[in-house]
Amino acid sequence: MTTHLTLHQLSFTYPRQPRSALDDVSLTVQGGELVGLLGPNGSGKSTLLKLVVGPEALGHAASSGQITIHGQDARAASPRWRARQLAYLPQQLLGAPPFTVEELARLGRYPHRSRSLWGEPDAAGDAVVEDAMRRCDVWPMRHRPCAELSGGERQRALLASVLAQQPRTLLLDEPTSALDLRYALQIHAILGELVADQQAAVLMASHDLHMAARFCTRLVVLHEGRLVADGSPDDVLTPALLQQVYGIEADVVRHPKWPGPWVLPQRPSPREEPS
Amino acid sequence: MSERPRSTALAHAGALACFIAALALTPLVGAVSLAPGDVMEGVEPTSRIFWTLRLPRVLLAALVGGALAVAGVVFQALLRNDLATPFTLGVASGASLGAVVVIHLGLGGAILGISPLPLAAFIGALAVLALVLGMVRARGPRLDTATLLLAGVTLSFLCSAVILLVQYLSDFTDTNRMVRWMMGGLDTVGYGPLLQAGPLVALGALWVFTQAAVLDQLLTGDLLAASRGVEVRSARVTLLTAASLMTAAVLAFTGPIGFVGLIVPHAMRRLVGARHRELLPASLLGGAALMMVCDAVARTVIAPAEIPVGVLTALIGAPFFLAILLRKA
Repeated sequence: MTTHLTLHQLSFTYPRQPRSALDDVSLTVQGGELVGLLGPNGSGKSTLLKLVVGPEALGHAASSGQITIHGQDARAASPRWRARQLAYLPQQLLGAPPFTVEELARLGRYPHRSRSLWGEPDAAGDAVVEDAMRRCDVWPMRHRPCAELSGGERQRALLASVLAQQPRTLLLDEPTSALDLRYALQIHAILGELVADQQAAVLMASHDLHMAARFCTRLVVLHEGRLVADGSPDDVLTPALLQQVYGIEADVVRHPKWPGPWVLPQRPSPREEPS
Repeated sequence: MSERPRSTALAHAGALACFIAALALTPLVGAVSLAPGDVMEGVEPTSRIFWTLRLPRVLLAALVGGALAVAGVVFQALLRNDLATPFTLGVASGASLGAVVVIHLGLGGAILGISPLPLAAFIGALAVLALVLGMVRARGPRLDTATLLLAGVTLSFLCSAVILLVQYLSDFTDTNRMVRWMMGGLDTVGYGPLLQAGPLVALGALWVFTQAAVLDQLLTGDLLAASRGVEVRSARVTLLTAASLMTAAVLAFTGPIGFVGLIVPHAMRRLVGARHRELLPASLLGGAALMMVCDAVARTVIAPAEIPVGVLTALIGAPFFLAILLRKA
């Protein structure tokens, strides 16, 4: 196994914010791992992913700590090189891009294009783009404008463009939150394949504890910007942790047909009186 | 919706044909119609009218139309706003302010061979751009789209207020000249404006054309673009500057000619799609052709007088745009 991504004592504070969004987070992701990044709203999941994407993603605000991507210091790496190693799927796009599905998918080839005046499509590009669209099940609708698609179809088209980028590491921000169960399962299957067959690494922010427990090889939990748990789904998803991080009372059970813990959320735990 | 990929080759060929036809025919049209044979044989005064009045004017129209259409494409992509035009960030208001001040002060002569009116308009346009970029930069390292728009619109209003003040303080003749300038027009004699604005437009367009793939990426949002290796901030600043430079260069000589920078990109997007390596050349040709035709009509319909061409771009452009809009819907 090779180390794809290392975060070392990463801290970040948004400009003009009193509290830091990430506080001394260290994390290593290996090839062949599908890591679920859990935590309540505002716990720093998206911020962490954006920090790895690069300084442009957070408007060049300063961070401390070190990020290493495939053995290279991220700060020293060129944006083009980074984009060839890792791809990012944002939580949601601002509206529909004015492209057809195929045009959108092809945008993923940007870091691989030749740098000629017109950015001619790369030789391997056509096959890669077609494969990505087929895997995400958007091949039949490849000539349709994204504006005409449903939310789920659009998300799959976007995932196709991310796969067309041929990254070794994928950073996904809630990739299945807009999808129904069928497509959510399908996307997890695609990711599982990438991880198992191509030794890709996936770091995926999620609110879906069930799916995360079912499909992730490892779970990492953020709480108020700090990393509070890191381990197998069984080790991480405990009633005590759910109480601490999500503020809920929950039972965690096992089911013979479900390879992983099954969280049964019961009720929000009573608020602690401020002392 | 069609399940086939659209054929862009046909649309490009059409745009090119329109451009060539407009370039060949519109110089012959005007207060006096010129016969092509007389032009070829050098019959006076036809030949002189053609070479010193018509041809430079038609070429300027093509330059203006092409520049505004390309700049419009860039502004719509950068601001991710369908209603954006080359004038959205206040470049036209800055140019108008410069022009109005020069008219009010009655400045004459020439500086470096350029008369003070276009020079002041050009400087006014660039001053507004610098102010807008400076204001956005002061708010943070990120070049935020919403701030950019607000800063531009606010400066636009500020310039308009000062223009009104200067007009109020001017005498009737000057006020009339100011109003006429702000209507936009292409009356020009000789090749001076072409030679002065041309290189700037060419330089800006060349830069924009090399950035076609970057513009595509920016349409999906800064975050996704950044994750693909686009250096978002510098790309936005350089593209904005290039598009504004093109706009300011033609604006300085013609005054603000509206609508071309808005409708041509939209019309072409309908025909060739949103990918910029298709959209930019189509817009360049389409904008140039539309402007040449509009100007030919402007100098013919009430000949020997002329309609301000800015009025005509809207009069011709709006129905054309609506037709395209309704055809697909």
